[in-house]
Amino acid sequence: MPSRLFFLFEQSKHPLILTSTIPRPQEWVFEEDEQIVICSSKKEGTITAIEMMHAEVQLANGEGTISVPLHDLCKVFVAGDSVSIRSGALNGRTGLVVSVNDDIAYIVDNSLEGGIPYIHSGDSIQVFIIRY
Amino acid sequence: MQLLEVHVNLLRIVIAPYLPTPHPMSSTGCISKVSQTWTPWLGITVMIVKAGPHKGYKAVVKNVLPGQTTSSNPRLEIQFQHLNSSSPFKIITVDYDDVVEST
Repeated sequence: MPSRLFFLFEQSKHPLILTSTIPRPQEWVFEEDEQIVICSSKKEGTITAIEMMHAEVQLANGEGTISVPLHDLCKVFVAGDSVSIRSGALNGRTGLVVSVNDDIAYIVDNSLEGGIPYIHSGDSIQVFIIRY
Repeated sequence: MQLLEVHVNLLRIVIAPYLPTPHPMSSTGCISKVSQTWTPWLGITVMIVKAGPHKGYKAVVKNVLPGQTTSSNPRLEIQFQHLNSSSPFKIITVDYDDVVEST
């Protein structure tokens, strides 16, 4: 389902929805060997296999492998990661992660002509945030 | 500056592009930009000339690693362009002297 619908279902907090295995948003992309955190338990791990609705996750600290619904996974990024956007309205854009707040990453776009601007420490800059 | 706010599950890690140190600010105080022309080797097709299993294969320069201890100093990360089902579009690191620009 589109992520717009997914988040509407999620925000409803209906018990039936919370206990059911709803499909992941169709825009989300997962690959093997990616670092993830399980949203419900906050445990970190690595994706070892991906199925239609679930992923096999090798938990960190040797806690074994478990099956987790795809909608319960969040990828792990840190400031400085070079990333590309793989789907959605900004598909194809690339940039550097400057911060991560929960499941939202803030990225300096370097796919525009000219790349990332060179900024002196004394410069005053204006930042435009584009939300998708 | 444009800051994109994106859900983390729409992202994928990519190899950081090589960006040399940009020029200092101009006297006018304008913010200079890192130009694509400052990365002259990126995207160049090269041929491996060093004797070995990869000799003769063509590849594209994906990254430049300056300040290496090898005699040629910089090393290059190059991505093969030929079809190889076992390791498609493999990226390897070679010495600068191991490749020549391919025409």
